[in-house]
Amino acid sequence: MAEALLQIENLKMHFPVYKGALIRKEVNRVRAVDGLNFNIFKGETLGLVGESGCGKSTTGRSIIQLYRPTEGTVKFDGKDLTKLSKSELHPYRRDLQMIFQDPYASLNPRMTVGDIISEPLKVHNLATGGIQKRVQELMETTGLDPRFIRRYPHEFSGGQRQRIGIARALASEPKFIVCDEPISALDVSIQAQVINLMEDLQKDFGLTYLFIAHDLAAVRQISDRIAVMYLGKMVELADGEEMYAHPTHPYTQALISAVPIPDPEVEATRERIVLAGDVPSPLNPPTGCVFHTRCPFAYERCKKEVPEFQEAGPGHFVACHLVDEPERRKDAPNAPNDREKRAAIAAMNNAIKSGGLDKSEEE
Amino acid sequence: MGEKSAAPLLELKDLKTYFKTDDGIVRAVDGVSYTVRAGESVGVVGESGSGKSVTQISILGLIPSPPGFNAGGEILFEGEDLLKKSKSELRKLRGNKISMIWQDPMTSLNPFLKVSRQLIEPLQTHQGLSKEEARAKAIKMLEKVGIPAAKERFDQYPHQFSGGMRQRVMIAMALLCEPKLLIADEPTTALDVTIQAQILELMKELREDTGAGMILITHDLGVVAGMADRIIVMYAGRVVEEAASKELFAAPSHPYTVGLLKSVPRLDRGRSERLIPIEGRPPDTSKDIPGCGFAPRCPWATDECTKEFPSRKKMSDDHYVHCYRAEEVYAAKLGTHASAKHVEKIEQGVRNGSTIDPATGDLNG
Ligand SMILES: Nc1ncnc2c1ncn2[C@@H]1O[C@H](COP(=O)(O)OP(=O)(O)OP(=O)(O)O)[C@@H](O)[C@H]1O
Ligand SMILES: Nc1ncnc2c1ncn2[C@@H]1O[C@H](COP(=O)(O)OP(=O)(O)O)[C@@H](O)[C@H]1O
Ligand code: SF4
Ligand code: SF4
Ligand SMILES: [Mg+2]
Ligand SMILES: [Mg+2]
Repeated sequence: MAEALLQIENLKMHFPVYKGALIRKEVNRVRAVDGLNFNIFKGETLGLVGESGCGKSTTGRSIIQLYRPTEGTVKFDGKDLTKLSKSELHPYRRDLQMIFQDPYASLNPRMTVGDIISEPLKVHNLATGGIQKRVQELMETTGLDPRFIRRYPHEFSGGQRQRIGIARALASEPKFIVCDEPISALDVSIQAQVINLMEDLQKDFGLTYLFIAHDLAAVRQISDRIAVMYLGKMVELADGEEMYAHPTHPYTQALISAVPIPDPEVEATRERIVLAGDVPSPLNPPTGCVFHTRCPFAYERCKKEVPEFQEAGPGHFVACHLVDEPERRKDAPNAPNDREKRAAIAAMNNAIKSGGLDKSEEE
Repeated sequence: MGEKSAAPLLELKDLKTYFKTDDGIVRAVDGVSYTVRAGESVGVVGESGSGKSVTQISILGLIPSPPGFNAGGEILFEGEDLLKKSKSELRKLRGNKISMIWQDPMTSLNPFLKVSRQLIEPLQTHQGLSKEEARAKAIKMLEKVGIPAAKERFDQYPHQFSGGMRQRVMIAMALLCEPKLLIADEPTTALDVTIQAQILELMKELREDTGAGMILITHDLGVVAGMADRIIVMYAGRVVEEAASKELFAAPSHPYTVGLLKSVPRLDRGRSERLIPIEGRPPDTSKDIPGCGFAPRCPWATDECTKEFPSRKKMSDDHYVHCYRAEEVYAAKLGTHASAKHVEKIEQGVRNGSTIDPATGDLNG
């Protein structure tokens, strides 16, 4: 696993904000992505979660160079993509694909399914001669009836349209796919169909995914590792099991405690860490740790000093001063009572253990 | 939870709301019956288009007509049939005894009016308060729903509030008139999860304070698990199962309810449990649906299922199901605690024609 397909260093994507109609003057910048450092391993699914506007889509788009990053490097197979010109980048586009959130908006309504799926084949000169056959094969692979090749997107359901988007992304036989909220627009009963399809395709074609979603449960379902973002920064990165068992950043802890679990007994015993207030604007992010305006543990240092994204345990990265100063967690005046919280977490874990998995059926 | 009296606050009896469209008549709500008792919180789940919202809009008397029309049934609120009330009588009920919270707060808030005016006016008309009294009460409510600096922000316009705060303003508005029944249609779906947690916590608290009955529509089974006393499952315009929340999650007895439970990712499970999707998609309610509408997607379906819609079966106190094989589904223990493996084994078995022994819950033969 440990071989990196993508190495991302100090990735920044800032969008200028202009004022004035005639003389456009940059008055500010949206720091949508503000200095990310992480690797994406060959064959893994890296889940990326965070609240809306925290920079998930921008991260995905700047990795595959749909946006040209403001700063930083993105190494793919050892080559820094950010330094390549448009034409130098062209051959790499084949390897780096994207699936979009909105299956309605991302498909050209005037193109047939066949045209949509074959577009990357034509752009990259693939399957010459056998385009129709290849498209039908891709439709088959993604669970679409190949007889519908001449139909238009509006003739399909949301789940089927998402399959069309997946078939298009697969057409050029990519190595890496950014999946940007691919299930958020789908009905609950259809989401599982698409998740399972994506898992099967990954196994069959050895794909690497960056799976973006705001739904932590969906991310845990599909990901090997999970990265949490807040206001343009990555605050925590760990193996999925580890992240769930030992969330370390105060924001991750709140996020995990906020996700409802479909079991009334578990819900009744759960203690929520309810965060105060809203996410601040990325136009004017807080100084120091960007989370300090909502963090129950924030102290003086947090307002002044940006916490480093450092390894708190093997493969477990956290950006929080509490990693160096764990005793601060107890001293914090606004901190939830630790004993109560531990008791609540223990009660929840017990409830999950005793009822969570039907052990008698496992044998 | 507030006190629960025996007489229901709201009783839907065989409610039918249809729409005339170019493709024929859409039977959006096709014989829905359920009750909400005073102080009780009822969750309604089901996939998109199953008729959850149309049911609520019918209760409020806001179905656009044409194309919509009532095709039968009764909506008894405090014993009186709302379908027999005039437009002005209904208008008086809305935002007074019955209030609603929508997914998009801008459906309730007027973007061109200051928040203060929108909160004060209903108090003056419905409760006859003076302007000063109304103002004081409204500010107090904004403070209660957690709007920081409520006094200063009172005279701002809705767009000057963030999404989560607008939702709070709408909740304040919905609760100001101390409604008996609160209808919330996906109140947190558009919000981020940490903001959702704030809003749900708030709704729980306020409901306990006021003792209002609530109907909570959501596609998120986790949300109803934490918020609802009782749950209604809808499919293709009909109620297919209803039960107390604990019972529904522990012993679902309709294959569709099982399907919903097993197809959603759970934070407490993770990768090891594969999801079991519900294959296919819901039927088009403008076409004739013979028998049980779930049959084309149901692993349990038999020939009997497509003949007639299954009648209402009582499983236990407060637990009712419309399914020919409800006893078997119940016995097979396919609830929230069952593993994906177990559910797959059972579904595979019945798909191949096996039956379930109602005593042991095991596959026969
Ligand atoms: N004005 C209308 N004209 C025609 N059909 C309508 C109208 N309003 C609703 N319907 C139809 O009624 C059915 C039920 O819709 P409803 O909005 O109640 O679904 P829902 O369960 O609330 O779904 P969702 O989860 O997407 O909100 C759908 O088939 C819908 O297309
Ligand atoms: N093309 C753009 N121009 C200006 N601002 C943008 C652009 N794309 C995204 N942003 C801003 O960058 C921030 C992060 O956006 P995005 O990456 O889309 O967030 P997410 O995907 O996590 O919801 C937001 O504040 C958003 O408004
Ligand atoms: S650095 Fe400080 S403010 Fe930031 S998460 Fe850690 S404790 Fe909270
Ligand atoms: S009645 Fe038949 S088709 Fe309908 S849910 Fe029950 S077993 Fe399935
Ligand atoms: Mg996005
Ligand atoms: Mg609806």
